[in-house]
Amino acid sequence: MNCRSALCAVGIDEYTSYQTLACCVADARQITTDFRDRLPGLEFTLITSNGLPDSGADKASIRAAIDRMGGLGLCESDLVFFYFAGHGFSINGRDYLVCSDTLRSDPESAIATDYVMAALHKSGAGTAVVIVDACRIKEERDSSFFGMQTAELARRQGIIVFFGCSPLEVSQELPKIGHGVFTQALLESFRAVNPTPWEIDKYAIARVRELCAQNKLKDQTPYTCIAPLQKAVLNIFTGGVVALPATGRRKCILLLGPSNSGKTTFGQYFASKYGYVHIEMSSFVWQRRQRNLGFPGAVPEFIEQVWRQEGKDIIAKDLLASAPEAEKVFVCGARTVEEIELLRSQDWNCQTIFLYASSSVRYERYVKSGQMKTYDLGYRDLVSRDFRELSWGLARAATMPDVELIINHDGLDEAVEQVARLTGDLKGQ
Amino acid sequence: MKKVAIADFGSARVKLTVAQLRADVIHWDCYREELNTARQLSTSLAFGEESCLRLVAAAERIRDFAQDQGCDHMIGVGTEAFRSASDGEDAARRLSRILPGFRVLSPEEEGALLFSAVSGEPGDNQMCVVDVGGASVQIVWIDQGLKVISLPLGPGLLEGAFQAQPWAADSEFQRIKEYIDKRLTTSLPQTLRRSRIVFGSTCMAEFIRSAMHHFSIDEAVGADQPNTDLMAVLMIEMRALKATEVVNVYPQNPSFAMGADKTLLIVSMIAGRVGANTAVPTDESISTAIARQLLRPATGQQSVTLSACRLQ
Repeated sequence: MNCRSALCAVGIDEYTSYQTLACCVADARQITTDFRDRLPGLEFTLITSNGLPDSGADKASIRAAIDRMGGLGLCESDLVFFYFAGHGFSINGRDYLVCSDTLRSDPESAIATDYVMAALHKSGAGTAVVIVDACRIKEERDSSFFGMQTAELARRQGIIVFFGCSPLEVSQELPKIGHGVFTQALLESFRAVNPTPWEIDKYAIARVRELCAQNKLKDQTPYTCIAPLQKAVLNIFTGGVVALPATGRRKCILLLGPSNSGKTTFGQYFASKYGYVHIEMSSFVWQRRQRNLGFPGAVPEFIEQVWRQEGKDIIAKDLLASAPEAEKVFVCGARTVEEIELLRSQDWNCQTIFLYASSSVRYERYVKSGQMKTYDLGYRDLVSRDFRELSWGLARAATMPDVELIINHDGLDEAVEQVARLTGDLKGQ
Repeated sequence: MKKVAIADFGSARVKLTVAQLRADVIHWDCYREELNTARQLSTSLAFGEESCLRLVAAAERIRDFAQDQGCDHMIGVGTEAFRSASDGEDAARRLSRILPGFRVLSPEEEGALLFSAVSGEPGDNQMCVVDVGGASVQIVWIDQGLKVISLPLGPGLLEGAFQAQPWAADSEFQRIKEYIDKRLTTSLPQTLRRSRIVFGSTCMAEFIRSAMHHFSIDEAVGADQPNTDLMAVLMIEMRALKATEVVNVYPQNPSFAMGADKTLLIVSMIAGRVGANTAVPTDESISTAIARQLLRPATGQQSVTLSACRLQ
């Protein structure tokens, strides 16, 4: 395929006010070398810290490179990549990448991932890929997990994102091989499998586990966010679709629940841990919203109009039309009984879970996540908004006999284990 | 009759409703005494001697209490617990010695009484009435006459049959849900469609108000639009509580609160099956219906014939 491709790779080991890392520069260099080999004519920018905090990986330099990427004027058949190895953190619901001159006291001295996503979108490339091997030490985390906002934005904008680890985990380094565990697995995957997000994800999860076990590191599970789902089978180096071998009966976990019940975090974590393709139904809503930018109302009004015009199972139909033949899928966020019934009417081995947290717990999460800054809803407004969503049929779904109600109050691990036991994944069934 | 007492002996408790007609307005007082017979009934399908003695002792106490309250007449009725217990007839006989005229209502009579209590229009064919008792649930609707189905789905009975503790574990609740679904599938006509459900027991409406307030849903969604989704929301909010927190939802009647998740589940599942989008809780019960019959025989709908005993 005759297309343009561009890469911006950033690797930062040295920082003004963050702990020094060991392998990020090498990771970014190796990624650049590998991509140049695979993509003749690659337009690339490599930014590394080069042994000193003030040697070029500062915010201004990185931002300038991102801006250049946004102004490339690419087209649908073109490819654009952004790679980052270093520290990341999340605060007030925004994800940030730490630059060499970032100050701990000033989040705005880091680069928000939404800035990166906006530039990729603006570049015009039909295929945009972000690789984040960040969040390498735990102390950088706050109550909201790094990557949540990035994943949500990616789903809305149709950008593929590879994360080095799942929520609650640390992306680890392996100095004896000179790379981060995830980047090493990623580089190997390009040679070992068809370089589609789906195949890379599967390979990287298995290889990272193996490397962690061999080197007595903590559990680390890469997570891949793919939207739209059709891109799961896209060769990221050519933009072409890769045909898949036929699979057996699909295993599907359908996760329902109101906002802030923890569905997305749960879905990402569970899907990575047990080898499912994670699908957010909201991404199909966003795709429709992108095609109807003139709609004057907010998303709830938009989706209600779509339902009125095309039926209350239309988003499930979108999903079915786009879903590749993945053997195991984890579908989050069906909102109506009609959607649930349509998905469950497929010849799949389908288990339905209703994940719930009380209104007060969901409100606490909403405040902690920083969404309050965006939506500015008080407790009663939030309850009222949630009730609207629940009245779409979600509440009624909780009373369906074969829908398991799981209360997600006591922590992600407990809820994941509870569901894994129900689905047979805990014993590897 | 000016002041009457109605004693409704259920599987879990005896409820005493005292009603007085003053200036053409009925004034109500309700009392209850826990019997704790539901578990015994669900496991052995009989009251047994110990429970029978508790019933008799409770009957004596409430009769004396009704007298002290100045009631001139009293009626005692039994429901599903007496119908299903193998020694129910014997228990009823022993109670009739304390409360002359005591008798066990048939499901049809129960349904007719509640339907008459909640319906302003006897021919209302858009309404389905659900009477949630401790042991049984009566579903009543009009379809060329009054139709009544009585199902052993009362929260007290379900607790005894499925739960190891007063508050159901998640897995127990799931089994309860599946059991209710099976019973509804086999018993409720598939063609039954009603837009409105009125569901009740002695304190149902009061409980719903209390729960909405507890979960801060009342101001957010408005209490004037009770719908089936709201009942499902309350159910899952209840399920999200720890066992120790449940009684705080309705401190006036802790045992009712402990069974409320099941009550709301039953109501939501019935509403889903009949396609109802409105679910109205009511405090009306067979006791209030009987009291209306006694105090206003000329205006009340005489759906069931009962004989009251005169108190000294």
